Amino acid sequence: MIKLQVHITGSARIPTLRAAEAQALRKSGANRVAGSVRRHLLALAASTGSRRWWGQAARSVQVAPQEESGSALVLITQRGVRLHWKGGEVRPTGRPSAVTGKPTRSLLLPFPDSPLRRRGITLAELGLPPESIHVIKSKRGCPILVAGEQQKTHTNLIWLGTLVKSARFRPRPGVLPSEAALRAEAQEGVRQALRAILKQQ
Amino acid sequence: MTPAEYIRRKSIYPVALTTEQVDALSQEFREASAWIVGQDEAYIIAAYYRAAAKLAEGTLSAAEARRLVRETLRTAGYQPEQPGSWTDMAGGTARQRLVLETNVNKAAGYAWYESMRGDVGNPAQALVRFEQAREPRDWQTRWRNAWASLPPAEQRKALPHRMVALTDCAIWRAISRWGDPYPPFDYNSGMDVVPVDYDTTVALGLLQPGEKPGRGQRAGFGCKRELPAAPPGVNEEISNWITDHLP
Repeated sequence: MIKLQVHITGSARIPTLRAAEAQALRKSGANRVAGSVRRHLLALAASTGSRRWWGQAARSVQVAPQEESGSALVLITQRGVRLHWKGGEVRPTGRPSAVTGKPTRSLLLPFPDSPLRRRGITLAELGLPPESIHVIKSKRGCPILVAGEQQKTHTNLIWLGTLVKSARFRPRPGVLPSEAALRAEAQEGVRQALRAILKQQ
Repeated sequence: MTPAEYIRRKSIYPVALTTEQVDALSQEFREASAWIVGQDEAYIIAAYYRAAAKLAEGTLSAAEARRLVRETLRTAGYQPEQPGSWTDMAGGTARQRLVLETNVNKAAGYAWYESMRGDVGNPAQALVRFEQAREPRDWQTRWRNAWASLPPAEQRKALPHRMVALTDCAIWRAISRWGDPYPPFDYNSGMDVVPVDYDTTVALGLLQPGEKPGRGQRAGFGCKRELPAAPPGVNEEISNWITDHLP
């Protein structure tokens, strides 16, 4: 989960502002930040050709109820967004595999045309009999997970993915808008609310 | 209220409803109760909503949530009548995904609506595609038809040819399969909303300068009412049973 703390300060400098109006400014600033993060993630979905994942990440953006006066939390709850943003290393959990029952020792990176990637499901959910799943070596010696009858020609095999001991994600700061851009969005949100309030008076 | 809190506050309603019956339920009832179409086993419904809450708060990924459901049901001795079919609540990935995603998206839509409701700086919202569907619905036509069905006072709050409307406009309920003012507006719709600011809203003619936007309806929200049809104590029994028996 990613938590973006939004502090809206300075409303006390406007003496004629009522408490409810100051609250409206804070709400508008935080909502504007949340909306800009949603739009940013949707743009990321479009630029990467993502059909679902980044859209779901955009949907997971929420504004947490404002408990502390003057601040709000914008949350991005989709698992994995932080890993894409900040980077990091993923290792096998060691928990029992849902297919073999043995401790997980490798990560499976599905090929682009793998049924796992096409259908967005796990190996266990593919429903293949465990005895039909094998590990073969690629020409470069990498372990490859396939399903089907073992043959020398490797025909009629379902190519599932490559097995690795760990996977490293490079940091991608562009996954979220920059801090300066978010600050500008919060300020613009406050300005919009202030204009609306002034026009109503 | 966060999406996870919204899910956790529901009461289990172990009655096998049809899709048509669900569509006819009141918003208040649907928001307050945990149900699954065609499912009358309380422990199955509890397993799904428990996983959905963890998915909504980000402690599980979608695949981990489905795995939790499978493990919970198998630990409970669940035996599907037709393994791998749509009725298989432990093995049918498409069904699991539909139930979990619809509930998480509903909770997220509710929480988003609550935070946007009454926001003077962002008084309108736009309906946009968040996820690509294999066979996308024609939302433009659905929007135009919904707009045409509105009374004149509500029509002024929405554009007929662009999917933008004030947050408190009745068009949001009109495009929803269930009559909810927040997304998702249908099963697997892939559509959601983004806020539209005050200046843009005025420029689009949805608000006149100086006009105050409405706050939107709150009726039906809150998940606090007792459900007359829910058997008393079901939630407590299920909760205790899960704590004692399941991972």
